[in-house]
Amino acid sequence: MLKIRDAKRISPGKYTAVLSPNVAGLLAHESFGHGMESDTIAKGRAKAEEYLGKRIAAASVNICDDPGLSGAHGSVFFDDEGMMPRRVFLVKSGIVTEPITESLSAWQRNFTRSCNGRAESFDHKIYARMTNTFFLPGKEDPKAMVKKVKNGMYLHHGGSGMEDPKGWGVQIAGVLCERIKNGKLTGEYFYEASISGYLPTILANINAIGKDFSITKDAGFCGKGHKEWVRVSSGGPHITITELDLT
Amino acid sequence: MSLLGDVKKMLRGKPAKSVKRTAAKAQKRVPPKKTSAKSSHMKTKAGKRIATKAQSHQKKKPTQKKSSKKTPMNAGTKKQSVPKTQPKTQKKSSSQKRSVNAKGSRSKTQNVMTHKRPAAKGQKNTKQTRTRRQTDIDYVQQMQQQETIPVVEKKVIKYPIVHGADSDHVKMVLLILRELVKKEQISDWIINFTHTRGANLYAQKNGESEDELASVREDLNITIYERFENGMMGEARIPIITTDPSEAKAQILDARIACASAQKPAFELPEPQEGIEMPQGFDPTMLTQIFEGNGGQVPRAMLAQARTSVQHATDVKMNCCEFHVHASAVRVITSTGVDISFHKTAIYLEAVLTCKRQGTKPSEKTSEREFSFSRTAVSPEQLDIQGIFLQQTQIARDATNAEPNQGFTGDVLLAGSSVTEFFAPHHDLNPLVLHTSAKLQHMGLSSFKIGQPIGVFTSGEPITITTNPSLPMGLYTMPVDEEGTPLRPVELVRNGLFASYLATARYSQYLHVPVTGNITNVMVSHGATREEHLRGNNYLEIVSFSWFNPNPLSGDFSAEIRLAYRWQNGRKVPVRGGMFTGNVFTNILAARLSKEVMQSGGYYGPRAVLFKNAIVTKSE
Repeated sequence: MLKIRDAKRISPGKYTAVLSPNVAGLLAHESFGHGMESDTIAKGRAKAEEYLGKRIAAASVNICDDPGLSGAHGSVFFDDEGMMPRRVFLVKSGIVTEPITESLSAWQRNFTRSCNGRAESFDHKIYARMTNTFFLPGKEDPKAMVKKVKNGMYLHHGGSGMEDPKGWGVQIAGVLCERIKNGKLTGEYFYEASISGYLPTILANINAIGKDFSITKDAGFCGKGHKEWVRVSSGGPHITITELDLT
Repeated sequence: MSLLGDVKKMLRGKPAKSVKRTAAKAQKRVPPKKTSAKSSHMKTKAGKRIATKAQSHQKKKPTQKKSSKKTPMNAGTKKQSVPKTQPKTQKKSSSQKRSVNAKGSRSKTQNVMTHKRPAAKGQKNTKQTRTRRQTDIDYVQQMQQQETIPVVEKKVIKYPIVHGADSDHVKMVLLILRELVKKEQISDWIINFTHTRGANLYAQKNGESEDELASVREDLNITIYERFENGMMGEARIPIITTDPSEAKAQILDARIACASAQKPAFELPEPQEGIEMPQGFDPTMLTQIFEGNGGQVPRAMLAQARTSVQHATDVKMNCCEFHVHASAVRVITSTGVDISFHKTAIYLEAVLTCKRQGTKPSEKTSEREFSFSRTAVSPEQLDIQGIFLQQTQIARDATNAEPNQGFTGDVLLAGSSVTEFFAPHHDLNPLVLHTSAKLQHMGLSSFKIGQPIGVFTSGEPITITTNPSLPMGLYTMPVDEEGTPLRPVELVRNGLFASYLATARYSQYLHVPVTGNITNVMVSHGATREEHLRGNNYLEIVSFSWFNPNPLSGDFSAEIRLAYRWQNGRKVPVRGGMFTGNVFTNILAARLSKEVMQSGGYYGPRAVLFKNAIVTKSE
């Protein structure tokens, strides 16, 4: 906390960044999760539609939404339309696979139903919503990932994000960063940084995925636009991304 | 298990059964933060003494006896008044019955409560004859017949109960709470009841109606307080959904565990007051329409207007649009005698417009961009649907064809909705407002000091920030807050000086400052300069953020720009992307406010704000 007290504002620019599971989860949620909601696709609002069945990242990249994850904040026994949980691979081996769905848009677009039809409350509409969204772990040792970075940032924690499914832009705010110099964390902190950029570029720049894995324990909530709050969580392993825009 | 054991102990031994309100008032004189063994012992002693006094005082009060005879429900009060020795025996038995264990405390508690409930005429055993399906209405009627529940004799000032705020569910909970106070199982309580009727309309693809949803919901939340001999008070807040009185009572008693485990220095709930102003925070026409079951007309009419406004544009289309309209009857009842209700109406609009980039073919899907916006209001007139959609159509067009932002340092002007986002980002999370809160001060997190400037105003105009519950047709216009504190306009920051704490009942008593109640509408003083004069020759006008979300404590922000206009010598170029970065506390010191004002949702203040030497990073 004392180090955070003395934290500075980051100089805007492109950095090689090692994302903690917390920030990696936020990236999975904000960028890919919202863009893969079937009702958003049905309205022609999601750029992800153009990528269905196509490669978007390296073969080591897998992004899932799993409502049946034990003990996670976004888990449900069944969704608000009665669907039982199953793991949906949004991206499998780097290829955009299938969206998360609720019944109306799944029927409209002939998508396979998943356990993602959720409403904030009984008097709200059911939309396709995320549950627990995360990157699957890879093979790298997280410590070794930091050691490989000569000059970059370790992203400890993110605050919140905003979706842009049509443009596939990413905005994650309130990020706490720590400088990495010659493979070591320096204790030099930067606060309230923001990640921004174009998702396909960001995913293409992933060059290492850790073998660790954790889901955030925070009580996270996700809105559709600025409303319709439902419980969610996100997470994943450590991820190294090159050329990441930090402001 | 050990934690549960501790909780049991706390429930069994600590509650100051007979230390009621009078004792708590005495505790106010004792500094609450002292924790030495000596002082706590003295407090306990004091508590007992006061308790005795309180009992004798009750006996001496002839007016109370007189009033108790007046109402039929009170007729049995004297007969059933608890003798002095009874609390001790009750204490032991009730604590045993209330004790919670892992093997099914709920059923045990319910059995106890069922057993304790008085039998109806002709019933031999309430435990056998009563079922959990018994409705709250039955319970209320039966309790009135039995005349076993005394009315707690408080000063009650009658305000008319508005349509929709009266409910049998409330009556049931009211009787249970009064019974628990009488039995000294809780000290104080608050009922927050909201009856809401809503009509939502979901449209897509140029305004074709996709779905409509009408709803009626009642939210009944109660807060219970329990005073302890050490001068502390526990608090628990629970929703009561069940209409089964025994189940509701069991839930309330279970919530006492939270009271025991979350103790804070005691405070007094607000007393009822006469002449509370009832400001208008609702649209009467809309309220009537919704309460009469014709609520769907309101969003349908607005959608028709929106469709008309957008259909003339060839390059911009309505992708989807949602209107949520609500009318509510809100009621606050407290153990201190507050019983006040009022109406609210609200409209939420969210729409997404898509626009083709200029110079692209209609078949080129990738050339399309979307622009979303949302608005809140109390009435349809405030929203000006046609005006908003015409304006947003142009904004969507500009945002689609905007150039990447090249970065900028200098004069940055916020205008329209971006001003609202800056001053009332998420209502109470405006850092400038949050730091005036007595709660933050009590927690040692606020740097503001009464009478001191909130910063050194350099080129900016000293600002005045007011919480105004009386703002006509404001989104947060209301007569009382959720604790029943009568609300009034309060200047939190006056000409750049921290003038008053935003203090709820609890924190006003902790800090010994006047109570203001919770935050309502945020009013910001206007400046001396007309907007046209704020606009110089070289500046960046930010029209819309992706999301303006400052850190509420530090005030730091970094918000992505969805659309801005780069003005140079009277020529404007739309730009998008890049981040407006800064700090609310620092930026406001160099801000000039427009003379023109606007009202939007819960915000009333300048229509434009100019920040000197602000920083906008470039779009990548």
